[in-house]
Amino acid sequence: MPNATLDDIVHTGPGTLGGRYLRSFWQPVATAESLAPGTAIPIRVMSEMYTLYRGTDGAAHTLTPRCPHRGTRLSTGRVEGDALRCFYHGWKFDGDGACIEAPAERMGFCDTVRVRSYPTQEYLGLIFAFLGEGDAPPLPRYPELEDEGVLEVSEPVVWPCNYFNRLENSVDPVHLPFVHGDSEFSEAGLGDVPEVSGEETGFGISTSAKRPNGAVRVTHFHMPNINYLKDPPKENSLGWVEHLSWRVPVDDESCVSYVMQLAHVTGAAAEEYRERRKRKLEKARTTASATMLGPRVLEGSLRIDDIEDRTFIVNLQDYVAQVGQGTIADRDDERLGRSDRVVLLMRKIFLRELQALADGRPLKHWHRSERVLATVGV
Amino acid sequence: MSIVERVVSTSGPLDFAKTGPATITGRYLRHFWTPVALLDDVKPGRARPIQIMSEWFTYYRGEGGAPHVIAFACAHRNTRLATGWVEGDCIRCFYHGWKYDADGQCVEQPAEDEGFAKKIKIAGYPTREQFGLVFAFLGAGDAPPFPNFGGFDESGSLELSSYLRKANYYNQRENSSDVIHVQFVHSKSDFARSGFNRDIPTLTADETEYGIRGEATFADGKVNVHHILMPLGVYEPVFNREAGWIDHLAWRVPVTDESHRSFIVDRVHKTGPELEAYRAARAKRERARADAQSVDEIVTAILRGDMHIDDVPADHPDIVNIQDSVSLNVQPLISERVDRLGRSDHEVILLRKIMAREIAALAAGKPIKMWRWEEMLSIDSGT
Repeated sequence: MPNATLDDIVHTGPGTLGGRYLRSFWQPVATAESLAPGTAIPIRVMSEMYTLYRGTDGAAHTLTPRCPHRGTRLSTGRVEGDALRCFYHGWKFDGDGACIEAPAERMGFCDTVRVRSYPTQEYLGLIFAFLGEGDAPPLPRYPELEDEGVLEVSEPVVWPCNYFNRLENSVDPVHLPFVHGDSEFSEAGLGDVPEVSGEETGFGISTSAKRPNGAVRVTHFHMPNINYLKDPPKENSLGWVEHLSWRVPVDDESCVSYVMQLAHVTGAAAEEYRERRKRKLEKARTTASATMLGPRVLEGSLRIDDIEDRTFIVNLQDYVAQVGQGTIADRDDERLGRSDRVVLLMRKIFLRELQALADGRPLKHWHRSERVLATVGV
Repeated sequence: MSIVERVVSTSGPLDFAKTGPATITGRYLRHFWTPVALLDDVKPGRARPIQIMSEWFTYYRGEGGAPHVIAFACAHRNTRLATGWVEGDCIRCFYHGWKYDADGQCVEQPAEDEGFAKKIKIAGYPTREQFGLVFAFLGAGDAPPFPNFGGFDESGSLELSSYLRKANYYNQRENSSDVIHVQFVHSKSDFARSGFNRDIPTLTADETEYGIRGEATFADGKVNVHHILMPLGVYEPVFNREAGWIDHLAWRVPVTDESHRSFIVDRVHKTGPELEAYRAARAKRERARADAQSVDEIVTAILRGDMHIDDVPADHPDIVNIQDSVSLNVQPLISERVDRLGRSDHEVILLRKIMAREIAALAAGKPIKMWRWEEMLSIDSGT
């Protein structure tokens, strides 16, 4: 097979090398909260549409987007028990995709009809689907996020850039003192330029950022699109929080972030924390978001430094840097240095795995048997 | 593979969705008189651009009210003629005053030498008015005889309407050949009170000299009868809340490959005070429509998964339109679908076979069937 290229990483539609690779992992497709029992929604993942619905008893299912009969969208149908009935002519499908009723057809007809269904599971407030070929591997667990505390699953946000722009950023700690030079990150002590190194692990890449004072911040990228790290304390007084995020392609030109954070607070402190977070989220709802302000900064009609309210500045800063690279970053025309060595490691790993996939050789089996330790490095 | 799939797949390619001037289906449809506008879309002495089958035209009415359809752009430097001025039965271009008659012949060029104008001709299309609709023949060569509408206008009151839907016309055509969808798509609408949805009927369909006669027989033996009028029409009983069952004559005319406009003539069996009451009730619905959330907004929200069709009040003034849009607007083009058809699609399959046969004949340079509708057809709600 021809050599896999960076181009193969960024394109993830059905049948593409990158798409086949990402589909060999479980991917989050919605937050659990966004799918009420008895409802169905259309979702778009890696340039492909699907139907996601939740039976009245609570189980989530992922099916093809269209009814096989004459192709209307299944998500407009009606959920009945654990099954979904098409809006157009009432064909009814169970969670495995078997047609169990075709009211205007002869008895037995529906036995010959089925749509594809995809393994679907819920974990940590997210709905995951396995959209690949063959048997689904076990859904990975993240014990660091299962600890006692307050788990917060953010509303998914779509940015108009390729997912790999975002992945490269997650193994690039040098961007912190610049992109986030004036933010809660610098206030937390991440404002000076670190020495960067990375190593391949059983689950992905561990990135170390050593600060001039000797403190080392370690973050853990999990193949193929997951980042685990500790974020600066929220709401002043509290300790650093666990941060776990996925960047999932919607299509080649946009991606969605699923982000969750666990704050190590319990009892009355947890209640207080929830209250403070609630107020902050309310404020977020009435404050211009990164997706609203970002395009204005990029077109030059607004400067980041002129934004007075810095409450949500980190997100905007990242948006400007990553979307600003171009929808799909032009990697033929870049000038990398030693501080990009972990970015290069990530590309090398992706290319190696894509090549193995193209050649039909075994892929590396990514896993971790125990907890990994992320450090704050201040 | 089931028998029905085999029948369809041997009938030729299902490329009926695209109707631009260079497409085979576009060429086929241009062999027939086609409704292109409501007469009242423009006032006498005015013009507007219209789009039919992915092609733009100029529709204008002479100062005496006669409808005319000519090419979209002026021959000179191609500005759009509809922005010009109507003079008598001619239209004068806005840009440099070139004047064309209803046949598209240039008859005046104020800034040019004498004699130049007679060398300039743009397309002009035969045009006829019927039921308040403007029909045009948009094809090459001589127009076929104008259809004899078989006394459709001899009884009852004719009510004219029109709407645009963001679905390929052929998805809509198949929907008309598919009475079963009423049981599901329209289960919560005016139809729910019509008696039509009492049980799932058995279907038959046969080709006729005008298209297809379709019958749906219910368990009690009553029969619903409708007619597919080739190539774009349908004549069927429809139920509405103001009048009960009415006779619904409609054409689904492609605007682009992603949208079509329905031109509708409803015959309402009412006269005198009853008719007045009906019109008052319809006017009330029009007012409610102005206040209600638009069809487009609701359909978009449903398709995105932000709301469900069952969340739309069953008395929404456009409920039937919303319901059909939800199932039809997202169906892929017929040429891009992989369907799994059953016996309830009997008439859909027959329509595909007829279309495929006629288009294959056209492609091979053989005669196509010239559809005739010469006597009054009877329809029956079967309720």
